[in-house]
Parts: sequence; structure tokens; C-alpha cells
Amino acid sequence: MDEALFLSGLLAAGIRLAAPIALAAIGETISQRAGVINVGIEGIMLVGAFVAVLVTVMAGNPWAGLAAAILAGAAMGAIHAVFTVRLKAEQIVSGIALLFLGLGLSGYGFRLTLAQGGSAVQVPGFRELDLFALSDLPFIGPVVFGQHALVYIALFCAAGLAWMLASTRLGLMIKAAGDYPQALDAAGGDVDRLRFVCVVVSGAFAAAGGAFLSTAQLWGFVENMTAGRGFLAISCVVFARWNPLAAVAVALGFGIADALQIRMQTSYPGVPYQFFVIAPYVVAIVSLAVASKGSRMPAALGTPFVSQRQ
Amino acid sequence: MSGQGSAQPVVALEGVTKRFGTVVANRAIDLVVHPGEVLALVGENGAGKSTIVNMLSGLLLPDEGRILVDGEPVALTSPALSVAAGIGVVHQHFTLVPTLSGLDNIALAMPELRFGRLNRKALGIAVDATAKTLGLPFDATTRVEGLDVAQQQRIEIIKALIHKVRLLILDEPTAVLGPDDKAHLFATIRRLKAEGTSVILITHKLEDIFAVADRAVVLRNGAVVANAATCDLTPDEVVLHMVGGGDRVQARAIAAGEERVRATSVARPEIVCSITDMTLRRTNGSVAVSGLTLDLHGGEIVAVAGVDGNGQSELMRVIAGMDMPDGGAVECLGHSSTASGWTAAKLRRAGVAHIPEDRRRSGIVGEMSLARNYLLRHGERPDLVRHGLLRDGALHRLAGERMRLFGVRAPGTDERIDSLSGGNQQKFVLARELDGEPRLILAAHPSRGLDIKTIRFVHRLLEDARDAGKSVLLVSSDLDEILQLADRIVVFAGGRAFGPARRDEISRDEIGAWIAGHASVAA
Repeated sequence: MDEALFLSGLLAAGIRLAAPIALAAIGETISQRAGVINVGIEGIMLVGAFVAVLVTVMAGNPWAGLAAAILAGAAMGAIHAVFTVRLKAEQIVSGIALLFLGLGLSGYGFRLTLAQGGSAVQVPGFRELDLFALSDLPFIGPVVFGQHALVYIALFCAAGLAWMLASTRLGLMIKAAGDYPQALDAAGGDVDRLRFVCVVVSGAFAAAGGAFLSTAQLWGFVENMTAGRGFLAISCVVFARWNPLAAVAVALGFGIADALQIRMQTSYPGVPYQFFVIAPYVVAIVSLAVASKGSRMPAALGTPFVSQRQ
Repeated sequence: MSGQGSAQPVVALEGVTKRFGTVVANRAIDLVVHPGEVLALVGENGAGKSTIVNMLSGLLLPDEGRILVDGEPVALTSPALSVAAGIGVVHQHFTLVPTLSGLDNIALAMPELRFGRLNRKALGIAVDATAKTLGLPFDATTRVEGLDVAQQQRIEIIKALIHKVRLLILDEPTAVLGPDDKAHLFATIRRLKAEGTSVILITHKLEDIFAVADRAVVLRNGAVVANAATCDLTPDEVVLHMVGGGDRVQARAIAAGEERVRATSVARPEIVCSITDMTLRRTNGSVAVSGLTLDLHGGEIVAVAGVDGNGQSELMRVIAGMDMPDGGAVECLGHSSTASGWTAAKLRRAGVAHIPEDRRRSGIVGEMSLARNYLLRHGERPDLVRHGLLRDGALHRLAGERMRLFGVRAPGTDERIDSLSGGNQQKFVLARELDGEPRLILAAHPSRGLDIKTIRFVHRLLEDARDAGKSVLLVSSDLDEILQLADRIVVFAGGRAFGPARRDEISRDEIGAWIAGHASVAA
């Protein structure tokens, strides 16, 4: 029974830890499928996390915080889109700029507002749901029915995105924009507009991931609290070969690895805890090295589109 | 629609002029296409054919003059408007997304489907109906990258005709087809014509003009120089109009050269390259060709025929050292693919020259000067680089000398190579690759997209190389070119290799059967 309890707790915690990464990975999948890589989602997550806390405290409602975070993330995405899609700037460079912009904005904003009081602020954050009053079921209760609303929303979005890519013409257009934009252009589609929208949406998802971190997982903001989760999300996308559902599954793997290492820290007090903290990142590097062999990235990823039309 | 009879042209260009900077691409073009008419638009590179196509497909707007559809002036400012006007275009470079299926590619080209759910079943039925009336069976479900070019072209044609099309423009459609597929395409064109659809066929080949066209319009230097029914024209006259200058003797020689059968020389025994039981896979992992065994001797031209996409590109990449074979082995000039060090650099040093099929990707660096591009192959020559330092003077002298020898037209060796026309770029690549006595020359589609004069030049170079004892491996989708040049012929089709057969022991029909994937000519 102890093992079952441990496993149930591990899975429930793993899902909680995976949710921010999964949300960011869903967004990054959309953007990369359309041909734009966004390495700045870490920065967008931070802004999302900060804005979510700030508005939640001010409005007293975490949903308002989430909505504000999504708007802020979309705005950050639009900055990236202006530079990479409209001005055809180097996508990696723009992404790195976005990362530091987000890091600075969120830290500075935090010091200007919430950190002023000196004492910790009460954040009325998200609580776990109790779907169908089943969260007390042994083992599967907390795993399946006792998660945050955002977890279910993330799963729904991933499934919706997978369906959209596979079964709608919009999905075909996004894949064409990432693989061979000339074909979309010749078919009368607007490659730049489509990419712009996809990058904005990816920013919104990344910010929602940040909001989850600061209003559901922890109730509060700490500078640089994402600690590389944005980059883990990017590796999820690559590892999952640009498939949104698989990206969520990979994120879950990272989340469980994270939950496991926290438990290991208490089980093995003799080992320096840093060894455990790096575990998810080691998993990421090893899996990427194994998986990236022969993986097919969108052929036009990172390449600005210039139409031959005059 | 009716009332005015067939006299009303479907599409007409009136005094259309298009300039790019100071270059005049089209000069006061007058052109009419009648309903159910097949019009051949011919001319050398840079004659202005593609500019006309781009204006009709909504990619470019004319600077002067106007375009009329059904007698009404129209402004084709976007591809969508061109489609709405009933104009369908199959571009020379296909606009298919390689990772999508044929059906999905067709759906992509149908903006009227909006953004929502695709009803693939209903679309499949509609597309099949179109394909059937055209007599073009095609593979709707395989990803396009796994199909050969003939299949891809069918998807392009169906894609263009899924909308109501009254004028279909085919840009160099036969350049990539084998004889069977070519005959099939011509049958489709005739079927379209019978239904009243007009066709503009853009081509380099005299054979195509006389096979299907009703009328030929010849362009030279951006202007129409001839416009006549094909029954009133002879091949000599067409070439004469294309090359201009009234050089009747040369024109006749070029026209005759297309049908000339050359006596094959006897291969000498020295083996330059030996391929044993080789398997090659496409980038998507499917087997392109397997069980290929072939020896290349000095002093012969071995040609690989077949529809593009059956392993020809992969073969060239392997022998050039850019890829490893997926099975079997190659030995070439003392190197072996089974040992370590099967690299492009080592093979080049051993004497392999490579004229790649995708010049822009693997032949030249567009942003660099001609001189620097020359260095790409000769970066290890002590007279050009000493102690890691470039000897610019010597490099410019050598590059300039070679360019003169090969007739590369350029203002100077400092010029960026992408400012040159495709034909001149190709001559430059030949000048560079044939420098330094190579022993094996890999020539992939060496004359694709070139004009008739340049093609003759390239052919003569390859023949001279052969006569000088070099080994030449030629890949071409142009069967006439292969029949004219090759001493031995191999055909890649349907995952296997046919031959090699000696040129003088095999007929055009037999090769055609091989290209279609049959072991012998059907009764």
C-alpha cells in the first residue's frame, strides 16, 4: 500500500510539475510548425508568472491573473513576430533578446510592486479541483481527478492542436508555412500573417505556463523562478518531433523526473542535493542526443520567408 | 460566353512590357490564345518566357500594356485572381509541400475550403473524378517526397485543374519526364484541347512543339520574333528564330543534332570506379534502387536514365563522397566506401569532379565572387594558396583565363556569381570542375535549363573528356541527351536497376520500356 501511495503521490506531483512545461511546449510546437523558432519562451514565461501574480493579488481572482498573463504573453510573442516575421531578423537572436527582456521586466516589475511591502504577499491562487468529487479515490483519485483546471485545459489544447494539424486546412497551411512556404504562397495563402499569428499564440501559451507556475504550483513570484523550464519546453518539442500530444507526454516525463528527484533528496540526505536537482536536465540532454538522430524538423524552420512576388 | 464565337481569345496580351531595373524582360509583347488551342512558347534562356508566365499567374504586374481575359482588361495582382480568371499554372519548380500527401497538397491549393475540417473522403472523390477525366491516375495518400517527379507533376496538373481552368500553362513540363510519361502528358494535353481548354506549353524541345502544339510563338531578347502555325514551320526555322542572327548553317546543325546518333567508342579496360550490389535509400528511408552493380571505365560515358527520384541523385551523392551507400560498396580511384575516409575531399583529391544537379545548393556560393567560387575546388593548390594565405592575383588570373576558355560571360572575376545567368553559372562550374585533369566526371543533369547553344557546348565538353580517356557518369532525364552521348546506359526504375546495356545494342523503345519499369518491350 505504501508503494501505491508513493506512486500516486509521485504521479500527481509529476503532472503538477509538468504542466507549465507542457503549456509552453504546446505553444512552441505551433510556432515551430509554422517555421519560427522562439527560444525566448523562458522570458515570456517569467513575464506571465509575474503578471499573473500581480493581477491575481490586485483583482483577488486567479482567473483574472491568468487572462492578464495570456495578454502579456501574446504581446511578447508579437514583439518576436515583428522582428522575425515582419523584419526577417535572425530568430535565435531575437529569441535571446526576448529571454533577457522577460527576465528583466519581470524582476524589475516585481521589485517595483509586490516586493515593496517587505513582507510576503498573500496570493489567492488556484486550488486543485475535485472533479466529480472523486479526488479521494485511492491511487487514481489525486492523479486523474484532483488536478488544477489548467492541467485539463492544457490536455484539451494539446488534443485540439493535434487534431487541427492533422485534420483541418488551417493545419495544412501551418505545416506548409514551416516546411515549404513557397507552396502556401503560390496557393494564395499569406505566409507572414499565418506565422505572425502562430508566434503570438505561442507567446500566450508560454505565459499561461508561467502563470501556472506562480499561481497554481507556488503561490508567489520569485525572480527567475522558471529556472530553465522554457528551454526544457523547447527540448520537449524536438524530442516529440513536433507532435503536440507527444510533447505533452515528454513534458510529463520531465515532470515525473522532477518529482522523483525531490523525493530522492529526502531519501538520500547524504548526497548533495544538487545532484538530484540536475536530474531532469540530464534526462533532457540524454534524450535529445538519442532522439534528435534522424528527426525531421520543419524544413523552413528559422528561415524568414521572402515572397518572389513583386 | 457564346455569340462571339471562337474568334474571341481566352487570354490576350497587348503591348506588354516588363522591366527589371534597366533590363527589359518583355518588350511590347502581343500574344493571343484561342479556346482549345495549344500554343508552344519557345525561346532560349532569358528570352522572357518565365516573365510572361509570372504575369499570367499573378506574380508580376506588367509595366506597360494590358492583359485581357475574354476581351476584358484585368489586373492580375495575386495568384488567387489569376485562378479566378480561369488560368492554371504548373510551374517548372513544383510548389508541393514534400511532407504532405498529394491530396493534402491539392487541399492546400483550394482557399475556398477555408480553414476548417477537411473532408478528405469527399475531396478524394472529387479529385479522383478530375484525375479520371484527365486520364491521370495518381497516388493521393503517399507523402509527395516519396513520389517520383512524374507522379509529382500529375499532382501539380490535377491541382491546377481542380478549379475551373480555361487556360493551362505548363512551364517546361517535359524536361523531367521519360518517354512513357511524356506520351501520357501529350495525351492529357490533347484531351484538354478536345474539351475546349487552351494550353500554353513552354518548352526548349523542338520535338514537343511538333508533337502537340497548334501554333508556336518564338521569343528572343524579350520580344516575339515569330508566330506561326506549327504546320507552316520546320525545326530549322524554329531554331533559326531562337538563336537569331541568320546563321542558317549553325541552326540546321543544332536542329539535326537532336536526332543524331553517334557511333560509340570502344571502352578501354581501365576501371575507375566499381559499384558492387549497392542499395540506395531516399531521404525518407524508402529504397530508391537496390542491387546495383556497375563498373565505370576510362574513356566512356555511362548514362543513368529514368524518371527523376528513382535513386539518381543518391547515386551521385554517394560517388561524390557526400553520402554513404545504404548497402553494398563502391570503390573509386583507390578509395573504398567500406573503409574509413569516404569523404568528398578525399575523392576530389583522387580525381573526381562533380557537376551537381542542384547548382545553387552544392555547386556554388551565390554571394561569393567568381574567383572565390573557383577556389572552392582548388583550395589546396599551392599556386593559389600558400601557407594558408590566399594568392589573390594568381587566383583571379587563373579564374579569368578559365572563364575565357569556357566562354563564361561576366564583367570580371570580382563579380558575385549569382549575378550571372544560369547558363553562365553552369559554364563556370564546368570550367572549375574540369580543371586539374579529373579522372571521373560526375555530371548530373548538366544541360537542364540551358539554352540550345550552351547545351551543345556542354555536350562537346563531355565528349572531349571521354575522348581524352576520362570516365564520365551522366545522369539525365532527357533521353535524347542520353542516346546522343552515352556509350553504356543504365536505367533506374521501380526500385531496381536495368542494364547496363551498350548504346549500339539497345533501342529507344527498349530503354523506354525499362524506364516504365518493364523488363522488355510490351507486344
